[in-house]
Amino acid sequence: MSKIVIEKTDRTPEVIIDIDNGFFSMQYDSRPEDVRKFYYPILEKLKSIKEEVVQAGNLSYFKEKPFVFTFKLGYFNSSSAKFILDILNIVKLFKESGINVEVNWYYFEDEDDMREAGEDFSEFCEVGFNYFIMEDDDDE
Amino acid sequence: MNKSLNIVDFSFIGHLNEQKLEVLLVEVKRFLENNIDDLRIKRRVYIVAVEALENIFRHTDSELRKQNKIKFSIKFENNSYILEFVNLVFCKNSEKIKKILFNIKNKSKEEIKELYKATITKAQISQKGGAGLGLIEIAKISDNNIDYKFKDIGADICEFILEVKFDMKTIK
Repeated sequence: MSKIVIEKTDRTPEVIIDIDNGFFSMQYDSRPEDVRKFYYPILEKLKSIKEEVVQAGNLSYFKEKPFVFTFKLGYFNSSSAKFILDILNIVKLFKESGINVEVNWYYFEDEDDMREAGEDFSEFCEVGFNYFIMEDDDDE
Repeated sequence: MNKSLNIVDFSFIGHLNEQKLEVLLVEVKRFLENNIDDLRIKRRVYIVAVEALENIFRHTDSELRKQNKIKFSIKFENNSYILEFVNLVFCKNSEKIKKILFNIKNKSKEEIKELYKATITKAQISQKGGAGLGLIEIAKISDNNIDYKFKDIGADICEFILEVKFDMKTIK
């Protein structure tokens, strides 16, 4: 299966992992009841994608077109923040393996804290982010 | 800015379980939607409420769970939003919390960020689902505008009172 979609719930974000098109996205709030149960499979999947890409010699594909990681988050609790950083540390491994990556961090215009959270994550994982102001429609 | 000049304070007194916590947080969200226009303040108050209430829910000693009627309020006073959380802890465990809070309270904004970075990069999620980041996050988001005290109510039980303030005059 080349595309995984985890539907959003009241407490967990929508997560899309589209391997063929080199796309990962996380959207909406994150405050899972069991944070480990929610995030561990996502981390494992991303690690295995990195291995697949490297082992299959598909690096040239991602030189043309980056593997895009998109974050359009609403509220996330501190336990989720730890796992978001874990995801971003895997993004760093993608990059170190020669996979071209792009991280797009969205925030609402009035939410400077959310932009700052992105800047902190970028600093902690040592990967540059692109920042975009989210329109209301983006959150639909 | 408040949507209403006569802002209604939010208060909750009761026991917390998983279900009640969810209902309470929905109520908090609704209260903030109805009473605060400023997206930045609304978000910060919500973050503090979630982190503090999740901490209380996760860390209440099982022996105290039945009697731990927590008190939580949000009020608007002297141009500040004040959140207060009161819950029961064994006095013998208060030293550990005091040490963490004392350490946080004496840090500058930059030092809090460094502590956050050091903690999140090394964090292991506990069985209870915490990353040890809750109080640091609260300090980070409130510009360290936190206060706390422990009140001995007897039988080695203390009320742990945590207050977090957002002063509208100085907030950035």
